[in-house]
Amino acid sequence: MTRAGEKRDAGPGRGNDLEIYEEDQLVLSDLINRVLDKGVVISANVMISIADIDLIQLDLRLLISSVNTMIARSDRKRRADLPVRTDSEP
Amino acid sequence: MPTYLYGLILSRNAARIHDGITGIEGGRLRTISCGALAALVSDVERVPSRSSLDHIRAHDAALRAVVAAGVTAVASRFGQLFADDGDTCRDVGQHASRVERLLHDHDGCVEMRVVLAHSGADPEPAPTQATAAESELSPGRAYLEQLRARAALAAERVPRISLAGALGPVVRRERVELLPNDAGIVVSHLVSRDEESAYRAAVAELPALSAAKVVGPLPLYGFSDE
Repeated sequence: MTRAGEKRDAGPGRGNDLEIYEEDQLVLSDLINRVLDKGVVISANVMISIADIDLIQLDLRLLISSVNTMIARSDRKRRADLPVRTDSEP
Repeated sequence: MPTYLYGLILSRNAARIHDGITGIEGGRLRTISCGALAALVSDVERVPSRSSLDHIRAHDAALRAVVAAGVTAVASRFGQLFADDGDTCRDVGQHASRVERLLHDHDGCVEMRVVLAHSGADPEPAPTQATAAESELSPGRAYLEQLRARAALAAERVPRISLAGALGPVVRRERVELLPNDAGIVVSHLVSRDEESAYRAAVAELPALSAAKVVGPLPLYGFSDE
């Protein structure tokens, strides 16, 4: 991964440590977001639970929205599976 | 031995993938033929009791190696294990027509991602964890609900972003998304593999993207649901 226009094998320009940290966190956030939250779902059951992921030196908040997406998806599926209530039912 | 799934490619491209690619826990990446599609898999000796950032990196790195070999791939969501190759193909078959169409339509393409820090609108107070007494939801669930509401507000405030017009015809498709916790914005582009250099040059031309990070070439992540 490089800055726009840089050759892939050239070292990126280095700013101060905070800038480097923030850039690394941004790229890491994108990596985690796309791997956990994107891509085709083939298996009916994702066997590696997100909750089981042990991420070293990573702010857990980076995961919350991915978990959030999974919960929302699960909720939609559960609602779709509920029997439809007719008007005649109390 | 369980089979771990990384992604899917057209079967006709399977021969282009060399033997030296490794995946999670060093497992050798191999392809299994599932009709018109081939699944990118590796064997895992056991279901990992806990996954790690290394596993996530390994999943992505294996797919990027496939892309580097010149093959267009659709990424699978992380964490999909099957009892064996047969089970893998059985489940792949249920999604084959859609994925096959996607790979045919975008054969020769890669996904490029422009990642920008979100300068943010008005600062929002950090969500506080609700107590069970304050909410009928569990505390954890209430916290997630607050984050969801915050993300929805952020999505409304983020200006409509599109780079496709500025980047020109190198961009075949575009998707824009927010990173979790308002960390940044990602603009994903579907680009012909042969035009990656032209794409990077086009991004470099835009002063507004001088601080952006360009990630790629990648398999189809953001465009996998087309």
